[in-house]
Amino acid sequence: MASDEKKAEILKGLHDSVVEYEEEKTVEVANEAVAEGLDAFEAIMGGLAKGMETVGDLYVRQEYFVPELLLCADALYAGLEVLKPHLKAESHAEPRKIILGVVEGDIHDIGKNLVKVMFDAAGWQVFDLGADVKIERFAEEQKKCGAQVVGLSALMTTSMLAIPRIIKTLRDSDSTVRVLVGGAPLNPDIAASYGADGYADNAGEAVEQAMKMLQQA
Amino acid sequence: MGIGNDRVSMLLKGERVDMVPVFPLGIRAFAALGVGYTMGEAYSDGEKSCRAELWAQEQYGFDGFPNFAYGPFGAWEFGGEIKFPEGEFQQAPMAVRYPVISEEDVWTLRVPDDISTAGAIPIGMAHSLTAAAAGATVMTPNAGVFTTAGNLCSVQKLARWMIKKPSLAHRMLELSRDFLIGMVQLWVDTFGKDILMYNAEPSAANQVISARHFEEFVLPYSIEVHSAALRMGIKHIMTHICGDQNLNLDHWTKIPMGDPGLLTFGHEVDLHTAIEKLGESSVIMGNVEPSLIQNGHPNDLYDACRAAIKAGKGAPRGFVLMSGCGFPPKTPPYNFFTMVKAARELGKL
Repeated sequence: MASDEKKAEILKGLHDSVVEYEEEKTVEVANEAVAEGLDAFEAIMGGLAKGMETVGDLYVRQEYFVPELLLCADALYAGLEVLKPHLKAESHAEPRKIILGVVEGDIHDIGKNLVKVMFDAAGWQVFDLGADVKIERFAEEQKKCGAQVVGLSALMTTSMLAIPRIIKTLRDSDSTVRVLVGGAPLNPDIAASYGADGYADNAGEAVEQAMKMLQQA
Repeated sequence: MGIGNDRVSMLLKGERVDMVPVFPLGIRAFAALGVGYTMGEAYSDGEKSCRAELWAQEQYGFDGFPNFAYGPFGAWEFGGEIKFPEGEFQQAPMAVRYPVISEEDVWTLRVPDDISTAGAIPIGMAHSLTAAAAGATVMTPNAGVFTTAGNLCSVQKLARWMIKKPSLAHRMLELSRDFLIGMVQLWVDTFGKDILMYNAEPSAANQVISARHFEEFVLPYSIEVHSAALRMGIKHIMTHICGDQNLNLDHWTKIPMGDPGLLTFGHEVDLHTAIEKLGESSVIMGNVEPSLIQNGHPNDLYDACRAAIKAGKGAPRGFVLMSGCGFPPKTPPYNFFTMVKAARELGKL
């Protein structure tokens, strides 16, 4: 079992290597965490996820941009690959679930992929439907997996018109599901007029918005 | 052939205009739907798409000139694959296969031997020939060097390489630069030097990259492409500074645009700032939010046009009322009329 001092050092190492997008270093520290007997859940949440939280803040403050975020995400996933097999079944509660997808007619998925990283890092179970997702599929998948939140992304003024239709099919299927939307042509007013429960201006804000929506539910 | 006689062209020639012109950026999908063509034909048939734009111009009475550009330009031209829009929600071509998949591909990819037959170039050429025959100003397809480079390998790959393997990113940009210079030369050879070069850089927005990366990966190559076009005798370059580029504006001042250039801005950039930084050398155009044009109440849209006209009217080289990005194809016709009406009522000079 790692000493408190060693544990703090490993968690900081995981945090820093994600923030500095050092993929190999992240794997190295994650392996060290396993070797030292650190609880994998703690290493993920206290190290990798904290790192992505910092990355999200840097993105919102325009200190990091898409290239940096993508590389931080690579480091995060490399660390998760090492640590996830060591998770104990009882070490964490049932995760929150979110479905993500770029709406029908649109293949611009950079924003959605960054949002996925943030939810992965925050410990959510993410069901990523990809891009150009047919309207009905969101409700079908939500019924199957019971996700509490559905996140919809659109980058085009034409594809954004699919959003109110998707929200209607979701509400018809499960009135409790919360819908978060984002993408360049959207704003909070349009999101509200489409019947969405929340709007995220960027990937760094998405998890916080989703948590707020669930608290208001 | 040459520069036309609409109000935007008059501003290029330094002539006085009677009112703020309206020039909806990238209107051909809206125009195509308005005359009964499909969204796909707006991109796959150069002659039809240009005719639709000219008819829309006649119908609504706006200024400016036809424009053939689309997001994933470069992918098909270098041997990848695109899909033209179809269905209810698509509005532009999509890249379905990039020419560069692996790092090895970067070093084997070559600029097409015959640019005139590459990808959508024949479609763009048919579009320009139709414009020229109608006496409209001719403009090249999009020569945005960074955005085109992203379309060769995907923006996500280019973004990673910019930090981890910059030599690969620079190679993508060199290929993009050489192709675009060749394309502009083809247009000059066909139509003469009295045409406009068009450049749009959505992938260079600060929603994607930093000003530091703009300086390293966008600025030098843009200077090279723009300088080459000006050396060919082109006098004006129209550049769509797409999205939030507030952090990049100082770099844009270093890129030659001709005399004057035409600079169009997204709604994310304040027009006063744009005029202050770039208005001495270029006509400023913008920047009504596309979502408002498509979804807004006409009264709200009229107010937004009022604000844009008020901010832009005094620009030293002139101001043009324009959508902040590609004109939304599903815009209610009355909303577009509202923009024209606002310019007529509020933009008298």
